[in-house]
Amino acid sequence: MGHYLDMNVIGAGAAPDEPLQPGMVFAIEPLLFCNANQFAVFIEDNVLVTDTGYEVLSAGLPYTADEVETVDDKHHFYARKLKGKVRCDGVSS
Amino acid sequence: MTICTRCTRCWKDGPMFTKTGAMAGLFPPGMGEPITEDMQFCTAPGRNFSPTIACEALYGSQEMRRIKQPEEIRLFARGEYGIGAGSTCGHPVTQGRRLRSRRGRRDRTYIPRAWGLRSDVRCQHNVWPKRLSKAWTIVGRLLSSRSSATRGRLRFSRRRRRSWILPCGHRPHSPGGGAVQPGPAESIQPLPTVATSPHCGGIRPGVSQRDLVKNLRGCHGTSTSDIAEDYLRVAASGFVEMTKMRASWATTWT
Repeated sequence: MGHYLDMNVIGAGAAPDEPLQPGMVFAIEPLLFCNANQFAVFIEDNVLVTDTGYEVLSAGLPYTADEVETVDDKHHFYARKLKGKVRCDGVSS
Repeated sequence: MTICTRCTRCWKDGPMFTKTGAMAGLFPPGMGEPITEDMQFCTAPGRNFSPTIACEALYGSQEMRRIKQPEEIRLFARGEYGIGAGSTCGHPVTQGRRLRSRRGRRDRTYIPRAWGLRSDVRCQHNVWPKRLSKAWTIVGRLLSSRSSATRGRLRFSRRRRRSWILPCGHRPHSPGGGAVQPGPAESIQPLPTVATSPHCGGIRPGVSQRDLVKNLRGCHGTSTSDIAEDYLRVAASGFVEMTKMRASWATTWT
């Protein structure tokens, strides 16, 4: 459901009853999954606790289904256009 | 924080391949074996300082994990902004990758980094200075097996457009068992998030995780009754039930 963002992807954090403090960064990731229908949706927000409340660090990412589909189409479009022309560094297997 | 300042040499020498360390540019060339950060902070100060100072450095490092320094926050914000801008603008942050489906077929998929890797160290790869590109490659490869084995990721299938797939980990005993699970795009709608539902969570200083879990449960419980599709309602109800068994969001504190 969530985790702190530390030096590791999932880091140690405060105890359940310890109050949050400004400067803490954590992720809240509600998960919907249904084994019977074999579907799952996993959305994650990175949240920074501020002095007055919180700030969603991942707010710039699309959230609604329409936004996701639009971005998905763009990615597929560029993936087709740039196939074989872009060197992919990183973790490609 | 004074201790940490005194142990600056340890911070630089330690194999800080993990997230915040990597974001802060603390990991050295060559990297190290993937050991826990606790081990790093225990061993590195122990080579240079007395055990007392080493223990103090460990406590200091743990405190730093909780409360982010302004520089760390800036790095977080910069990385998130870059990923968001790159994703929405169609920046070629995608990469080809082959995933093994349940039936053993290897499907060609493209992974928008921002979607599956928001809290992953690799999400920062393409927004970081080029001089760190090689280091990021090493970081990504080191974390690849660990992350993919323990974390579910939202991925898009090229063949099944407008559908969602999520391999919930690649271990047979994990939910989903590594299967590519299709679902309608509308399934994202009944999922209140902190960004889309400002009152979801009630996050502010002084609130404990236990309170946040209760708020999330109430937020999702309210929205569950409005879901028309049966399977989505079942999934949302399952999430609400799961929150009842947890005192906090972190798996380590259940």
